[in-house]
Amino acid sequence: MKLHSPKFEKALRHEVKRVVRSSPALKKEYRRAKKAGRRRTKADWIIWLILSFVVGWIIWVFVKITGHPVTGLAAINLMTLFLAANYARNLPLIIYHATDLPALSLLPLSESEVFRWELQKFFRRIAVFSLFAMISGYGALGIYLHISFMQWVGAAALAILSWATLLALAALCAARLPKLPYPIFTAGIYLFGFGVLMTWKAFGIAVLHFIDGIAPVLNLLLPTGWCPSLFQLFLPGGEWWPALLIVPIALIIWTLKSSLELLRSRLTYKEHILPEIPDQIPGTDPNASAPKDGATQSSPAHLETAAIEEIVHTRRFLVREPWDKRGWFEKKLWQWLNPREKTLAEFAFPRGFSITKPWKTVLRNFSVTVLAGFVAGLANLTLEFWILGVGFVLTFLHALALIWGNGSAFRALLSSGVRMHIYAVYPITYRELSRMLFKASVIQLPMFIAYTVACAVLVSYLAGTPIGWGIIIGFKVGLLIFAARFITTTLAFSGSTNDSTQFRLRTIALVLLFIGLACAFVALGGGSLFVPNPIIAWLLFLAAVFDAYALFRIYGWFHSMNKFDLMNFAQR
Amino acid sequence: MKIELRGVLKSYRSLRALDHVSLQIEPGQIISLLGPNGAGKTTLIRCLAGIAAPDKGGIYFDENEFRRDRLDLRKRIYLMPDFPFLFWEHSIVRNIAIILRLYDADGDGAEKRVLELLRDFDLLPLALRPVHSLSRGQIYKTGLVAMLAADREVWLLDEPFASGMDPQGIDAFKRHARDAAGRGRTILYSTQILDVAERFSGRVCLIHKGEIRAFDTMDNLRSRARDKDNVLQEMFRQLRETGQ
Repeated sequence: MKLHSPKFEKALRHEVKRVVRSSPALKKEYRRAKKAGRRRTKADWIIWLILSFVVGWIIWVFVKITGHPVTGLAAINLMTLFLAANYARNLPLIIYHATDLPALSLLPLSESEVFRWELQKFFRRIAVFSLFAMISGYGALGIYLHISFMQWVGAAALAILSWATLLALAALCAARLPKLPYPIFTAGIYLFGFGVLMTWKAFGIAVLHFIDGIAPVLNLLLPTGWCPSLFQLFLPGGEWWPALLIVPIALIIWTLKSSLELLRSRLTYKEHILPEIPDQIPGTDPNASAPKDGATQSSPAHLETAAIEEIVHTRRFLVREPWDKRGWFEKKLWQWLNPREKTLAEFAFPRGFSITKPWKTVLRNFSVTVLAGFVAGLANLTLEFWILGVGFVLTFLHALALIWGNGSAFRALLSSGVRMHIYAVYPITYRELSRMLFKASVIQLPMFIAYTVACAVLVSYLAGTPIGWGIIIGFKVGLLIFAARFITTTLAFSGSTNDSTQFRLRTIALVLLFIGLACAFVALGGGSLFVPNPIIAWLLFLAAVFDAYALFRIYGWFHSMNKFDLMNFAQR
Repeated sequence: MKIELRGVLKSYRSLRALDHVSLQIEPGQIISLLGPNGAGKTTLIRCLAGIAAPDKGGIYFDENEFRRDRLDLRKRIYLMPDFPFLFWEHSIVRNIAIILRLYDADGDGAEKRVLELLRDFDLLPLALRPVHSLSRGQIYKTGLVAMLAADREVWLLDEPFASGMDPQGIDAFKRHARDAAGRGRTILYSTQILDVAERFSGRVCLIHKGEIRAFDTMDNLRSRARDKDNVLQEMFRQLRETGQ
């Protein structure tokens, strides 16, 4: 798609070429830029082809272990589900928050033209690669089953159909269900997938056999499984009924147009006139006085200049927000922090730090889930399993967000073409900020451990294992997740830096060390949960905690010794 | 605070942003960092603030090697990016309070400094408004008030005169900067506005393709120049003509 005159563009290109040819320096710069651009594009394609190959290989392994092609189809189903959630999150970001939108808004272009421009960027840069993953997935099944030429043609068509369904579902979710927590969902699957891979022998095989058991139901229940279900038509002795799924698949694809239309209608250049915002008087809750979006306020509260002078003169503006009065845990944390850490806490959590209220929400949701699950279990055991499973995942992700929360210390901001964390501009060191964040996590540890123990006890009750085992496992899992705070904090510091983007010895060493220690943490932590000998299990547990701490300290050394920049170039 | 760069090299892939830069900056000066786009001005400022890490060479403040974990040194330096890093949902005074505490500059007398600065920069009536409701120039002035109130020994500013500030704000900034230089503060700022640099700064640092081409006082440069009224313009013209 061209947004401007091809004729003008052609003439401009000719002229630029002429000027470049006439200057050796420009010629050299042009070659260098072209080479770098090609290298980047080539690298993207190579990475995606490798990832697609990995997808195919995983599906092939799944089918080989279980001997059931339907399990491979369930894996394609789950991959599609993950990609749909990922795209549902990225599509609005790319369309509504594209970096070229401000520039495009100045051009004489209609909103639909801009929308098409942004949309094609999404297809070209992101969506097209999932097609390779689909082809690779069905290809792996085809190789395993030694299908005929005509079946290969059918499998290729199915890959395209699955891809179209994926895009339609992503657009549908982005347009109709924009408020679903897609980032949490995708992050949860990432973590779960990583954990499964790292503890393959102890835990991964069990997960695979579980998926194998529910694969037919899973493929039927999830819309992302309907296309893979069609593959059963190619199987020897396959049944005809999956062909009926063509109807709902067609319906999903049919929604694509209206979903895109809805997304397009939300792209608007109209200037938003916000209501006048009242003053934020120190010592009062800013959230209480701020009007909600779009709400009108007839007489916003503005103080007279003399009153503002009084606030500054009497140092009222320097009084910290009283967030320690929000609850017992907040008060204890406030007492535990030293003056410098209080300053950092105020910096990282300028809206105040809440512990009591969000943990009440987690525990309430958990209780409701358990109650609903048991009530449902009286009628149907599968339903009980699904309710408990979904409830656990959601409350667990919420609890993780609380225990690993960083506030806005790592908010990335743009400055002269680079992205930086807000903390990097101010005199804040790696160790002091981490220490404050650890204290904020430690204070939540009793609730978190109680939560993980309750989850584990419930799981052991359902699985028929001893309750004591559940308590120990829950306790260890809670502590291990808390220890992973060292890793998540390191990752938070690592974002918006160029610690892994330069090709040099120390960068490679840092990346390898990071990956090695992170994998060792998962392996040691996994081992500590499943090794039967309690002494060895606890030793492995301590080793995992030490490993996470070592990773944090080693990265901190690189950070403090100026071994990389605290900025990275914003994506062009 | 004395600033010293010893053979600082900084590259972004094949581009040398700073090419073995060595400099000594004595305290109490206003220094204009000049150079064409992409010359390395912002990189130099970022290296001094600890955001960019030199590939080679070192940065020294009062003979102490600068590292990110040297909080004592970092508290003596204030970086003002081209767009201030503030908490948009909070008021001007709340932002100033948070920043002052980060620099341990919220002690006695802070309120007087802040009040005076808010008046000088015409921000007093807006002092309780959230930053996101302000204009570009007002946001920059908020960052500037926080910087001036913190009153560190080294001020690093990236393009302060292209910040959307009104003439009153620019005038107030110049006045406070001159006053601060008199008190031994070092003010290093990048700019493309040669007229301002020529009148406002005591020393000029001309950087081109990552190399320091000139680092001298305005008086010395003026005494050597043919066109005494357009010293910096002449230097830029020569730079362009020679292509080096």
